[in-house]
Amino acid sequence: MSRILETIELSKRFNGFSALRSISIALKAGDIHAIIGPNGAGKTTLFNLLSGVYRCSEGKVIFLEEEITDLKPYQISIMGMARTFQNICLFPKMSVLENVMVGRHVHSDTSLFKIVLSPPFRKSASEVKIQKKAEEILDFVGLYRQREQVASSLPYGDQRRLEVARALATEPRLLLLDEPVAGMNPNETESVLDLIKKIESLGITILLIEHDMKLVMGLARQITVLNFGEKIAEGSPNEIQNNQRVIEAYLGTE
Amino acid sequence: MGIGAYSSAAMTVNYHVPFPIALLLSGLLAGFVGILVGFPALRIRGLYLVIMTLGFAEVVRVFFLTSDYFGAAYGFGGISELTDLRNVFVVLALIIFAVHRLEQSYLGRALEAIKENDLAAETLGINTTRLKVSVFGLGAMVAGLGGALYAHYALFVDSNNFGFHRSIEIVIFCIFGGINSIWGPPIGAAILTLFPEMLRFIQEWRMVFYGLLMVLMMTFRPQGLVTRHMFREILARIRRKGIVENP
Repeated sequence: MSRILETIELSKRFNGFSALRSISIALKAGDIHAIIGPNGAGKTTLFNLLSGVYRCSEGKVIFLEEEITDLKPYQISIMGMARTFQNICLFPKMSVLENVMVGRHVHSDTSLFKIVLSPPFRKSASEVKIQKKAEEILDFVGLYRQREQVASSLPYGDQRRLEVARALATEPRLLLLDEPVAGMNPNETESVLDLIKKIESLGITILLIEHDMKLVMGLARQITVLNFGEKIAEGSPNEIQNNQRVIEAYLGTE
Repeated sequence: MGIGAYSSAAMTVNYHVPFPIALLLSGLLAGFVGILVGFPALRIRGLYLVIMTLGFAEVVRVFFLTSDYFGAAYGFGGISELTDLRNVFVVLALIIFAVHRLEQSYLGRALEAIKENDLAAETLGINTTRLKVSVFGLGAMVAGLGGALYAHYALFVDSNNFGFHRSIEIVIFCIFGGINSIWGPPIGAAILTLFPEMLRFIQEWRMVFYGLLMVLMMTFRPQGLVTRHMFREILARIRRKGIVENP
């Protein structure tokens, strides 16, 4: 299988603090790949570098065989990479449906001229199309019934789900999930697990940061372990569980 | 607004450009300058942005105050009376229509998304820089149109008309009416312009009432008179009442 994403010696420093040091990872298309590591290991920083939110200090990011190191977040998104955030970043005052409809932005191309001249009091054909697609996606993640609610009024678990729905609306090839089950109870976690499997079955590659080891071990085919900004191990769940350095990083050394 | 007023006046007086064309061109010119100012404005937000735009308005004012071509401190006169109630309403209606269509489109939704969380908007493929600058230019264009209409109504423009005081007044109109809806600013402007006129009989005291109105408004309805989803909410309330009354 081909590589969908690759980082080459990626580093990030914040005013002399080195958050990530020469990280090289490669993602196979169609895989579920997890990044784990103790708090402050640089996992979210890595996501911010991949999605273009931060500029890297050194190194390269290659996505779909093109270098995206210096692209802006919206350009990377248009290429087919979507993400969610560790601290939920919805559009809180917009409805659930509208949140997902924003995700359809890159697939909307009505010209300004047409918009300004369109007849009032009636939804245009392209708006109807956007709404229909957004409703399908809400149905897919199981939020269709809540579509008219204001996003901030949703329970926490549903807000995370909505973030995933919004990211899916861009029709990504690669989805980055930053702690998708953080703060969820076992039931909610279970349903997110099913959702991630459903997304995988659509052929979307998934890169996920997660602390919930049960979820990671049950889902991921590949795991990368970060600690203090360095990659300390990589391999299948089985290999990682038996890796001495990983155990040390999590439990400390005697 | 100053740019629109002076440029349209110069066009109709010095070059005998037909008024509709002068109106359009001065609007475009103001919009273009707005885009230029929009780029540095990208880095700042909220109150700081307001102060920056007020500062830029001062720059424009002093430019016209010192420019001999535009009459410097004497002002620019000899403008023919080409603005009447009818064409003001036509321009206003066209602007409101266009803005309404924009708001209802995917671009309007993208703008709302940027307002709520611009990082999330950017990661969803929205070119936030381009949209922000465009909207800044659009706003400046509308102001320019207003200025052009004003110049051909007042027949004489003087840089003092576009000073700090006028800028603040317009900001107040918008906040009073409600900055989140299309109808807020025009309604705010209408009320705050007519209110002191209606109180003319008490002379100097009327500005006291103006100030009082402002204080009451900020205390009881800081979001402005008209809010974006007001009509939707009122409808929902009526519907809910209906359900309760006829079970």
